[in-house]
Amino acid sequence: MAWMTDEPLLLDQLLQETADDTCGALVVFAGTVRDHHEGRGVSGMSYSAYKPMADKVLQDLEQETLERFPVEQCRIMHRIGDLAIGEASVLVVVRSHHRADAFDAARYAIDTLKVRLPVWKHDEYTDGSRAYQDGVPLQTPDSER
Amino acid sequence: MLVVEFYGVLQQVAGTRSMELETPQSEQLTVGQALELLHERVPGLSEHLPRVACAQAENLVRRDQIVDTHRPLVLLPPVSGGWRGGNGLDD
Repeated sequence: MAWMTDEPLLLDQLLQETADDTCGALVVFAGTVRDHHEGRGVSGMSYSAYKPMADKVLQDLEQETLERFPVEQCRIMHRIGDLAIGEASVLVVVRSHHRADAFDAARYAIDTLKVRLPVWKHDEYTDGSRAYQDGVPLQTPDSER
Repeated sequence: MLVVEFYGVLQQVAGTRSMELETPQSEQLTVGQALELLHERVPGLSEHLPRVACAQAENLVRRDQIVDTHRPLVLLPPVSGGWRGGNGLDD
């Protein structure tokens, strides 16, 4: 299985990996590249990552989500490299017996990813300039306790 | 000698993806002490270092931990795409 990839994210692949006939709920979150940031036009974005840690963070987060919520399946993949407007940068797929648990678990997974995953966004603006987006200091499961 | 690797905006500030840092051979070095040596070498990092997380291999290391000089010390700036103050989540 892959967690970080420089290839386009394939939702069908994750749906196949998580197929589970015991589940009546499927929640998919996709983060996509938008065309603006803090009032500036964005024409594209480059994602970079510290991959040795990022793969482990996503693998651990999938397992943590399965343990914290009554859900049967959880898969997360994140893209790195150059992305165009509208392309998916992250996919979270959760399946559970009932919908409320799948919504809660997917929300937890994406919110937690945002503060634990060592990934950085480098915006390319429509005026030709480029800049890294600022963010939040990296957290770990230990630092959140 | 300690190899230091930079990610994100730190690559821009340092002007490189990695550098070798001279370290005292006779003493063990903490992560915090390594960052002080780095600050002397690259003063432009000063405003970033307080918010930087440090890692060796796939694990974060605290500033009071001893550095394994056989592995790169990886500097990870704040991760982007997280909380935006009181506005809630960004995407």
